[in-house]
Amino acid sequence: MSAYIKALVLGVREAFRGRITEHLSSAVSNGFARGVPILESSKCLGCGLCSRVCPPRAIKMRPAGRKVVGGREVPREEPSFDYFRCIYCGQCADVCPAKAITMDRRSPVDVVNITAPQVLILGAAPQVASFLVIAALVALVYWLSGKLAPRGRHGPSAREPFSGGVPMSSSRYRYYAVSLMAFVLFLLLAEALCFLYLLASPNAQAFAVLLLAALVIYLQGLWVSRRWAG
Amino acid sequence: MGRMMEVLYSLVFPGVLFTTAMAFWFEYIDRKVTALVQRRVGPQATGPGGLLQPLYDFLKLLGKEELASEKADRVALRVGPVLAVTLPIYGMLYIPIVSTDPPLGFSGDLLLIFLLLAFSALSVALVGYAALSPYTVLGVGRFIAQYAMYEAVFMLCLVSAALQASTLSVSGLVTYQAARGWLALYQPIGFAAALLSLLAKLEKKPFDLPHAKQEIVAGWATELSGRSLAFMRLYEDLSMTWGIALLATVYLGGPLGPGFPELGPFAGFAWFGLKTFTLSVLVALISASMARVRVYGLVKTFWERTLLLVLLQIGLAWLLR
Repeated sequence: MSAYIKALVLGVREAFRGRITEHLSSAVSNGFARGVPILESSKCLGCGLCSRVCPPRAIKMRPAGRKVVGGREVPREEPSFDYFRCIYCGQCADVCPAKAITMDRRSPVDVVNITAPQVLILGAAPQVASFLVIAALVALVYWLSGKLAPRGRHGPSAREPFSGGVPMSSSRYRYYAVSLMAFVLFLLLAEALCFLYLLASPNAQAFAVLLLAALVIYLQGLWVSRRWAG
Repeated sequence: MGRMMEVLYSLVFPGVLFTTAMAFWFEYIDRKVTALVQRRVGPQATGPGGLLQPLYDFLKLLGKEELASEKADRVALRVGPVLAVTLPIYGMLYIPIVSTDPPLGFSGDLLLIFLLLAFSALSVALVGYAALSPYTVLGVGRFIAQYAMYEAVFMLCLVSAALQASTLSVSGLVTYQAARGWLALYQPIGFAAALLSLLAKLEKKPFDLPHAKQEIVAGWATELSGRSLAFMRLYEDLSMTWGIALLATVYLGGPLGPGFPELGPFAGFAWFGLKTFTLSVLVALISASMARVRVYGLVKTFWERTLLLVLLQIGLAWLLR
């Protein structure tokens, strides 16, 4: 029983001893945090060590221009930091051979700087985020105009599809659409694959494969169109 | 800061605001040129010289009641127009206008453009099949047949351009043209074939089979009304904007021209505007003065002749690389 009372007294005493938690802004001054990794682009060699050593994998190597190595131009890459994923440990700065990454004594809050519309699309790739933003706006206009448009009273014939006097039977209206769509998708995939193969290994053999595939597709297309006509 | 810039890109500059303004501008050019060819005056009353007529038509249709047929697939009818309008606007974010780098460009964005083209065809098919009637079915069937014909040609044209520049990114194509001159000069066959398939993609006059007015009412758009009709009409204009911008970028060097890097982004914008204006007048002229082909004529034009020429063009591009 006395053990419980002791624990209770200890708890009350601790409750009045002040807080250990500090405000994020003090991380700059108290020396506990190392700061924010900042890249100095001109010093960077593009070796990619930082992205390999990063514990939460917050560093991605992105293409950034070209550089000259031994008289030849090769593509150069540069790290880009995902500050939402970063744990601010500073290992990237430790490992950097050119000292291009420095830990700037700032609070992470200053770097990420969240505002309201960003919360919705937080963390998505820019390509995905832009698509969502545009689609949301377009859908909003569509929905609003549907709400604002007037509504009249109509007889049952107003909502009948226009068939030009032909009696409706939905089963027979299909018109090769599915097989044609499948043909187009096959064609695009085959061409894209050959093209990628050609770009990966630009030699005459790969080019012959691309041309052969195109020719086969051409003949198949001729066959499909003959079948329509027949 | 980065996220705010993305929102700005998507909503204002190459995104929603700019692209829709440009789409209305191109529709105005199209209507005016068609009227000139037919010796009419064209839009005249709204705005200076009738400039605001396309915008007014869009708003008017938005404010009308939508009467969907009873058996229509509601989900497809809602998703289709929104998707159809979104895709070309999104595609404009991969077009370099004021600099050689598009706002969202990455190293394989040409492949993404292929995908967006396929999806935008899919969204039209979705809208057409949402409400089944003999005319929409005929329209969508013709649309997909036409898509099968021109997409192979268009894609192989882009492939031959990418092959010559040996890159898969739009910015790579533009930097190649900055160093060596326009690709249209090296690949005139590819450029002509791409223009031809663009006409088919936009359903312009020689290839307007999917909504042939005198034959199948309005084709895949027969059952549309109100906001859906407004959105699909806007889709056609946006698709024209995007297609012409794509052609101007791949073959005519996009923002490149005398004084572009020195005089800053405005020079690039001016050159881009001039090239797209010329292309849109050309497209409008061709479509205003041609008669419609038959479905078998479509096969003859694209599959039996143009595709072989484009294969030849790929061979030439391989040698020019």
